[in-house]
Amino acid sequence: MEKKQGFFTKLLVENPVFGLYLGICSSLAITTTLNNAIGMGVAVIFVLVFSNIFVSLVRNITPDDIHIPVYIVIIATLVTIVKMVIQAYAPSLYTALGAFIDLIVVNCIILGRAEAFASKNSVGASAMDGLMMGLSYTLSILAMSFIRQLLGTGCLSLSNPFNNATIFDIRLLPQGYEIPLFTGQTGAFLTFAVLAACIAAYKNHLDTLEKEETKKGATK
Amino acid sequence: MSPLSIIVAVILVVGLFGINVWLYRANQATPVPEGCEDLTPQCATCGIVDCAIRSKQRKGEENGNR
Amino acid sequence: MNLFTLFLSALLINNIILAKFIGICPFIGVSSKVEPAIGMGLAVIFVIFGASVLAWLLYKFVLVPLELEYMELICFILLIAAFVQFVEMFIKKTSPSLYQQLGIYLPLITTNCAVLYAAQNNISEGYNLIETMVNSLGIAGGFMLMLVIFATIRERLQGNNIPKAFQGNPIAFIIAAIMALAFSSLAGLV
Repeated sequence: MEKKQGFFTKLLVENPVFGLYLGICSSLAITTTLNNAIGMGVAVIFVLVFSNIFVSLVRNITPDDIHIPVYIVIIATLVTIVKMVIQAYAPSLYTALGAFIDLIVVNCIILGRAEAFASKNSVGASAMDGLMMGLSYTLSILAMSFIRQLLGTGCLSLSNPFNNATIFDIRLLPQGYEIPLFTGQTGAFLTFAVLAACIAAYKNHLDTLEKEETKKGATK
Repeated sequence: MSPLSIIVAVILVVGLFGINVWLYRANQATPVPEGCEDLTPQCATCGIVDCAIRSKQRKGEENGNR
Repeated sequence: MNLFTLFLSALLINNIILAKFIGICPFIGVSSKVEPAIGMGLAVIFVIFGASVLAWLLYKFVLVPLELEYMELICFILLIAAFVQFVEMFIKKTSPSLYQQLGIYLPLITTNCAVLYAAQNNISEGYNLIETMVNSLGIAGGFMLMLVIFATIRERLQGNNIPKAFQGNPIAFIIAAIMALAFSSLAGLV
């Protein structure tokens, strides 16, 4: 069967957030602004890449029955490092992300990739996988933040977390036309549901295309 | 940060890790009560396919199909 | 702070799932039927209560005197993992019926955001031991409450005509959105 799944298709279908429903807690809570999304995304990419590297490095010497505590120690150390760096160099990001930096430890994506991929593959491949998953996650939460910030506050803004300088701040919806629902809890669930449904619809579309192709191939 | 507090920190992490390993091994050694061997959590809607429970289920299916 | 107010706030007003968005992964995974939802909920109450108290004790009597507060995350998560294993072992040995109800969900709870959040929330709000216990019970109770409500709604929804793209998890989020809307009316009560 031809492998028609290009890079972007894979990104959409095997999306950890909307396709596989991993790492949902953080993607619902902090996606109120683009800043938060990028900050969290970078933190998760860092932790994912390095945890994959370290897990892959020790994969041959960890006994199989205690691999979970080992992974937990590796990931927790990395997250503590990230937390301290953010607290020191980007305090506004630290207050915005709050407890969710700590919750990167129990982010299903990181432990999941460590168990599924990094424990069985080489260091290079694991690092690459971590990077791809992290980028995929970042793009997903960026998409959510984009919609939520645009509809919820009417403007899109980005500021440098290291010195609070605004990079851009454009108002796209006229004052008074924004929907504050989207910055709150209900909006988070709604946006997530619609985006997840879009990805599911795309998956279904791809499945029907595949089925038609196999039928055509079978009848020839 | 005094060297003493660093040593204590290392001892703390190693100690907790050691307790973890001991409890993990002890837990795996305790048999499941009778009548409960075939229980599987009904978590089919969950997307975490790499979960420890799912991989156990998959291993059990592979062994059962041989 | 009044203990009852604390409990109510943790249970309903700042509900961990609908207001704080924590613990959603198992919320979506184990809530398609009521029975596993009850099992998971009870297991979570057990674990959150025990782990929070132990974590508070560890923080107050070990980390603070030794000025090792930065080790909080590593120590807490290791403590939670160890505690979950201990609880599972304890239940296996003492009560097979309890194991049948909730033992199988225990491994899932180690990586449940809710437990780590509960442990750290008690520290960051500076509660004493009794307040920690009440807060943890409130958080865990709120989790179980939402899980059971959610499971009953999803069970009822199974025969309905849902658009194909929304089947499975997306419709669950729409339900959660409506529930969040309903419970957000309680904000500001306390």
